[in-house]
Amino acid sequence: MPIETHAFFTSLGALLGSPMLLALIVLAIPIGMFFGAVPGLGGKLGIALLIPFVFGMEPLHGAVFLLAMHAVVHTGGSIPSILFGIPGTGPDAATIVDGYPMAQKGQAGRALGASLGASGVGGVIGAIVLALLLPVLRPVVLSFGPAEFFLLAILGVTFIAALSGDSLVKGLIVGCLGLTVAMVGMDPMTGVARFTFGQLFLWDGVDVITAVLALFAIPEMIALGVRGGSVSAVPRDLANYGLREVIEGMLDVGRHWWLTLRTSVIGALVGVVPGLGGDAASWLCYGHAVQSSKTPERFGKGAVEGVIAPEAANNSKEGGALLPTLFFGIPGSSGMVLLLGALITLGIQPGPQLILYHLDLVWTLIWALVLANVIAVVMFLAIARWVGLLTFVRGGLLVPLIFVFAITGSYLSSGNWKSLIVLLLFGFLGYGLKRSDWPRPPFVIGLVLGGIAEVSLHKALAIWGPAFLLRPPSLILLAMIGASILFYVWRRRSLRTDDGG
Amino acid sequence: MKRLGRLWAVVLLVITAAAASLPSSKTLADAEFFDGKTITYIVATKPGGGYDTYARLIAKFLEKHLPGARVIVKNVPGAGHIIGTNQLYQAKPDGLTIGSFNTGLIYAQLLKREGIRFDLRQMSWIGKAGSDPRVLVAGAESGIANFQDLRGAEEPVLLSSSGIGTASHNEMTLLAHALDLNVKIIPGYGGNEGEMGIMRGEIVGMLGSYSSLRPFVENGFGTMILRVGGDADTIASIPAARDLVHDSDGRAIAALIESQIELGRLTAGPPDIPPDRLELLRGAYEKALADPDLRRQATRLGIPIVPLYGEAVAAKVETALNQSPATLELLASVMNADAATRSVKADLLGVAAKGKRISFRARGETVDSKVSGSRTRVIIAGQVDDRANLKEGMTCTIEFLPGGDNEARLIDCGD
Repeated sequence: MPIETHAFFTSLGALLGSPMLLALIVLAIPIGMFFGAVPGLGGKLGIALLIPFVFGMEPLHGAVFLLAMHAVVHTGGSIPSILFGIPGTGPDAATIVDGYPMAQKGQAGRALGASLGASGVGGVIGAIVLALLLPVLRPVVLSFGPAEFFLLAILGVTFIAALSGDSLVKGLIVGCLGLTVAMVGMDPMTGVARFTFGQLFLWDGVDVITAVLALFAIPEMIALGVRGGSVSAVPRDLANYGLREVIEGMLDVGRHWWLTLRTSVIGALVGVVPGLGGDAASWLCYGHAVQSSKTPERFGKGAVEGVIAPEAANNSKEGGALLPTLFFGIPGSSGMVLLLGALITLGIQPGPQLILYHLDLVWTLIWALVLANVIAVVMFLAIARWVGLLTFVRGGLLVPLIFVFAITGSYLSSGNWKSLIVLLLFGFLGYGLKRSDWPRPPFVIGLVLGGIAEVSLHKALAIWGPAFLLRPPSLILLAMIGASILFYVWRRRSLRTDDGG
Repeated sequence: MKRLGRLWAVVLLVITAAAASLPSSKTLADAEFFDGKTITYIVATKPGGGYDTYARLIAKFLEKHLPGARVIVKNVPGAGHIIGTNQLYQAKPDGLTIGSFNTGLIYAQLLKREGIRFDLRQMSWIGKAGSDPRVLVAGAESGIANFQDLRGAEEPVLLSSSGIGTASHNEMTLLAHALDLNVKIIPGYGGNEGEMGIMRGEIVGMLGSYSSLRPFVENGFGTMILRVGGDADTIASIPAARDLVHDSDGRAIAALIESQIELGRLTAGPPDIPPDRLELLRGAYEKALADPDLRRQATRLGIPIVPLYGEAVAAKVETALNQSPATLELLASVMNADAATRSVKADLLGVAAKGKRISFRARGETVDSKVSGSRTRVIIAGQVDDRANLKEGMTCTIEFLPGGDNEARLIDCGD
């Protein structure tokens, strides 16, 4: 369509030709990365706090500023995940599983580079997916309902098998424990409090950030304290740490371009469908990376693909999430709820009429998304070198500091001091699992997807009865679940024959 | 020892000085009390969202109209506003802690929900800023275009709610009862999932606040077919629940929901704030809400301002909480797990499998119902009896859980 291509280029020209807009994007990026990098803050709070500042701005300026800020939150969020095993935000939690072991191996620079590259590429692909989906938005968004959510969650849980490394049984036990913990809270189907021990704060369930901090940061820091030394087990002079390492990590993204592309697209699609959430996006993509790898046993021990997949996904999902926000007025993620409010504040009324009358605005926002992601990579590259050096700081200095961060992160994210008790209890659980060499990621997957699975199953049964499994999208997902299990069994067998022969 | 003694002397001196500089609350020149003080405004939800938006706006303008005071917003989320409200209620009543919470807690208090450590009657009411009429929206392609379609529906109409125990679920359940609607409420649609569900067509509609559903309707995705409140609004042409109810139960329910609507976006403090300070707070609140700057910003934020102040709010809260025993019983029976049952008086059309299954007619259709050995109470001629003794043709009062196998809870037969 000639009009569309016209808007496509003029909007880019308008963006690049406006020093004010470019300055706003450049200003927004460090703010967004800061809100991502400080555990417990997150992009949502960032928008909530910035809304008063955009009050006086022109609608377009304000929207570009907030969007650019929000787009790069997860670029910054991976920094503490990789360096200290603390998730900056929920969706950055999956990055810990392989990012932190990489830092321990003295490859913090490479991990940061990979995360940075994947975030940048993911963000750009997210924007492209957003652009490509414009014409077919409605059918795509509307083909995912409770039946599909339930099966997607089950698909995610079957990834546990792939994630569990050496023992399927151990992985399943830990995964089921995660599912059980997901049951804690107010049951929306009966209005009854479950496993809350008379504690009101548990009505909202176990906070995911707290659980991740407890299962990863706490055990790792105890281990570091016990072992002595620094996060990086490799001494600094041997680690050969420098800008080259960071760039090496970015090149890894190119080497795994096919994985990067797939996880970016999956992430964007999860973002398009309101209800699944960013945490699910990165864990589903992490699982996908493990499952599609020829050498799944490397995961959890510092495989660079394990950093690329979730980081590509959590940036690309922001592009996807913008779609329903702009065109249905229905936010695609929790951060978008606030962005939606801000857009209305700025006088932009999201809805289908936006695509008819304000296509130039839509394209400007898409371009802003692309630019913000690209500029964020450049800006972060300048400081990544110094950031990574933190992994060489002596444990004695680092451990107390990280504990403070973990405690603050848990408190900020849940808003209740009693979460610290949960942090402590699960911290013991996490340390126990680590000591006895049991996998920890299945727990988090169970916790993240358990709630969605349960509620969606209830809804699907109430609406369609058991026949929901026979709907065409359900059949496709069921086939995928079956295929992934068969694939797993087949791979185990071939691995065994290889070992035997 | 000597050094310790000197330290003590210093500490005592500091304490005395501090005590002397603090005017006692009785002798306080009240107009200056808040000068130099920090007021904490508790919001019982996370940052972002309606309550937070109202709170931050009001806090900003309270600060403006309480010279010398600082007003900071503190989010205390959790347990559907209960944690924040408990904390507010237990705060020191010195006027330096006030806050806002969901009006739906009135239901929670009426139903004596667990976890509640407050009595809304006792709170120091400062004012309310909003009014949120409710609308029932049906999807544009659902085949239900107006209230008549809904009332005449043969099959149960599927409506979403965010979850059992939430205000939206309570209100929809109450309305379905008051208007005798053939609906099935499906919980678990939190946030904006209800709107998505309507667009996907898996549910027909939902009850929500007018302000939150308006964009959805304006975008052409649905139609408003029923309203509660909003008489002075642009939605006045839509049928109002109050005009459609046909008995005293129905009127009580409509009045209860309307009282909730009117009391949107409350601001209150803990019980027993000294009267002079409460007056100051109320005065500042009134000035803040009347401030043209606040009104302008509210318009830009898209949040309606319909204020009411001090005693008037306290009186309305009192009225909302003073439901007649009959309404309370009705509320409890509609809400409680038992109350999800339907009760009919009917002849047993068929008894099968030694009384494990019965059938009867309810609302013009034949219902097959399961009789549980443990959960169903069977009473025949006033005596607790075995289900095996149920006979075809007996006239019984049957309470059953509609849906699924329609399990009976109580079967009470004449003879």
